[in-house]
Amino acid sequence: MTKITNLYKIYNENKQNEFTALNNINLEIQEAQTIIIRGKSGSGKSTLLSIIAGLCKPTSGDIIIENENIAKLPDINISNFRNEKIGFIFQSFNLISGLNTFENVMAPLVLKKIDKNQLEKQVTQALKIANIEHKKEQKVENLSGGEKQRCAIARALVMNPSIILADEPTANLDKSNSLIFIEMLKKFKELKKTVIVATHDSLFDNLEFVDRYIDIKDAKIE
Amino acid sequence: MNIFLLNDIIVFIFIEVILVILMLISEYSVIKILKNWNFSITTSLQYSLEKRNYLVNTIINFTIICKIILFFFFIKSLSELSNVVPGAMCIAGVIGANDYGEVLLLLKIFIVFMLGIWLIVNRLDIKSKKFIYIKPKYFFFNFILFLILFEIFFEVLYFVNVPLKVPVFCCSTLFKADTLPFGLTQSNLAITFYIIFSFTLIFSYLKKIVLSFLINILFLFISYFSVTYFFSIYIYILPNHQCPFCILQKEYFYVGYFIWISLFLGVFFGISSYIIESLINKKITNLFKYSILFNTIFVLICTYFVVIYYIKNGVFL
Amino acid sequence: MLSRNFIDYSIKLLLKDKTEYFFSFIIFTFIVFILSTVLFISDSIKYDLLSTLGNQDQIIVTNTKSGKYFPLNENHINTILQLDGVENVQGKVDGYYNFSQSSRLIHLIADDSLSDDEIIVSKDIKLLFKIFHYDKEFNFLTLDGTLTKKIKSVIASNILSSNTIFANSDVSREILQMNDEQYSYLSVYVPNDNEVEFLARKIMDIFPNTIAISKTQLQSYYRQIFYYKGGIFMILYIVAMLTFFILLKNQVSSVLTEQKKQIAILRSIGFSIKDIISLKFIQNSVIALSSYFIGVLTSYIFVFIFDAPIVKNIFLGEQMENIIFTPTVDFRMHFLIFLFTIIPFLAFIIIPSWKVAIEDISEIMK
Repeated sequence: MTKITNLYKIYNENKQNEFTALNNINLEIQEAQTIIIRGKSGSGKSTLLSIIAGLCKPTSGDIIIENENIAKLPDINISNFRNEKIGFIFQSFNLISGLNTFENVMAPLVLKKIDKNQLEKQVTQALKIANIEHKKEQKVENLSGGEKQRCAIARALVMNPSIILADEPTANLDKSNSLIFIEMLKKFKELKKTVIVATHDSLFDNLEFVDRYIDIKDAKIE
Repeated sequence: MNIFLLNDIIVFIFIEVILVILMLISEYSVIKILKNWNFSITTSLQYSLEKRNYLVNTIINFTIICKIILFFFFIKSLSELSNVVPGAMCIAGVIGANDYGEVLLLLKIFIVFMLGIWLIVNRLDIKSKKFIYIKPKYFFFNFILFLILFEIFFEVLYFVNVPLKVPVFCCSTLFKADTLPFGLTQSNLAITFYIIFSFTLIFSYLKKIVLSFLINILFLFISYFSVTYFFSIYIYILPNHQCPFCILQKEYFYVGYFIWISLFLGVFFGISSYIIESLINKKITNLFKYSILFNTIFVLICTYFVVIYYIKNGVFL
Repeated sequence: MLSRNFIDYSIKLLLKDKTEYFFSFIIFTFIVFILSTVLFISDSIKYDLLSTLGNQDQIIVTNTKSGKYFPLNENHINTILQLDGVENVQGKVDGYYNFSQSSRLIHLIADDSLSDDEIIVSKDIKLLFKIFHYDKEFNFLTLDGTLTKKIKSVIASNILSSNTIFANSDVSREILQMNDEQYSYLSVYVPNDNEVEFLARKIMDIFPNTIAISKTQLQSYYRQIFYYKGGIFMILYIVAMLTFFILLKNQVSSVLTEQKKQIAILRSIGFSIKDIISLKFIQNSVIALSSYFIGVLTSYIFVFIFDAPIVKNIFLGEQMENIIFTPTVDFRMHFLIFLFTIIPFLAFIIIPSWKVAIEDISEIMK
């Protein structure tokens, strides 16, 4: 269960170029729901997502996820939270070039003390779900756009997190791959994951499996 | 010709200086943290202080590993020096070469102990998720930094004053048989030793913090005398060779290291609970089992030599 | 955190970016190479010096007159033999021959395995003689006339036997103008080590003009001289090393900035600041360790197989052109090099690693 109270994010506070990215956001998200956050570029949806993921700290406000207020956690704990509970799919995929698909997907797992077989099992399972197992030895810079995204999805799934976040997932994809992604959202729902997607792609409008649409404009929820 | 020109000493001092520089760099962060730390507020200053906290942690972890390595290296360098300093047959002569030697050795041991305690406090601090012990932790750091500066000052003084032309005393003069403390005889010393050891076991088992602290300090003193005047003669198999340092040499299979290290670890875990409690007001009792473990290993090693000698010869020395 | 998987992954990341770290690797290897070479050379020399103190030379006795060198005679030997604890006294002939054509003093050592007309010379002397057209024979010029001796063989010389001619005792005496009863120094064999110092002092008491040095004193004395020279070099070395470290700093900084994106990605999937610092530490330790081993290995080959061209001259001066080094490996010395290079290197990367680990990760959202 995610509960956000009085969330503010202000960049360059008290300076000339002060910019309010999020202005008094209050939000409650139930478990296993699929939420789409809509808004134009610069409306604050990416910032909201990164704060929920613990990638940046809010200026003020509380973010309580599974009974833990992540706004106040020190780095070690929040990194652990990010590692175990969050799966993030970036707009530009953010894969490590020079490594192959398998090696990219296993990255979150190396932080845990598990043996090699267990690691292989988990990675292979994530690759299967994302439908990219056949490319596991391929270097990621040689993958197509759609394949890169499936690799990013596999990495987001490998730790079996309870929350999946996706920031503009279809911005760098063609229409057929975008539709494939939407199918993947259905799979996430089957896996009982909480899914939050930030997008301004109209492809996501009026989807029946989506539990809620949230619109953000000028740093506020409408 | 100056002692400083020994390769070992140059390397040694060079690394000590590097460590001091690192500690001074972290001191800058520590002062900032002590002045401005407030975990509950969310300003960017606070976040940057949290990040500095990680830098200080890294530096201290690195320093403690280096200090431990350097301590062994120090002992080894002294062994090498005993070849160059006239009259010294083992490091007892080199340490005793001037007044600074013994103080330096004790100071080094004390610093390693203090760093060990710092590590334990740091771990507790991180576990607390809110860094509740951060201020006492860093005041303690300042104390340790002060000790380290003092240490390097003493080291320079010590090395400069090691005589190269005048012979120094050797262990046979330094540890003469008739100078046992409190007028104890050898057998009384051994008995007292075992009695105090049993008390350390009892207090550690019962997890009594203050009593454990006191008895372990006492045990440290008694052990020093017991090893020097009683147990070492069974290791050298010579009734008049009473020296705490010769057992560190190759001829005796470096058993000295095992003896002293297990003693230090045992005493360290025995006294750390009390020191931690006085620093941060939290009772820790899970370290006593290590104290029991290491003190027992220490006593077993010492007793082994006595027993072996008795079995072989039927009498005691 | 420091699990096997983590370490493997850190190394995987290191290997994929090999070229970026290459320059740091080369600089560090070079630092280790120089230090190692110097230490190999000085150790080898030290070893030679110490090993020439033979087993029988417990005490070396030399004589003086008016503060200058003067030979010893049979009387000295007989008296010393009488002392309790002395088992054997050997008189040795040893001195310097003035090769005036080259204005050079050549060390002359007696070796009784040679016949009356043969001499053995060290390699550098052979080359010297060749310049003066002495190929198979050499003419010693003495007050009694010229002595011609055949050069039997040439030996490769280490530091002690360079600049040396070996001839048998009678010939040496002739060249050095010593009569049959005179000796340059005495070598006294005392089987009981505990009595050595006492007997040395006793000899000096009996013959007040003599100097009797025990083997341990001599060893100690050689060690001191040695350490003195070694020490000066180390200090110069520290200065050079600091310069290299500055070079290294620029390299390290540039590598780390290029890696910012990669670090941000790792942070976003759950690597804490502490994990990133550990990762950097592991990578740099791998670089440092491999540099160390390669540096030491190349230096070993350079010094003991190729006899350290060029460097040798800096260290020893021109006259030692042709010496070889006896391979000696002193583990203590290597541990010293290890500490001396790796600890500063790791200390050096702590701050840059931390700086890159605390970078803001919201960059990654773009």
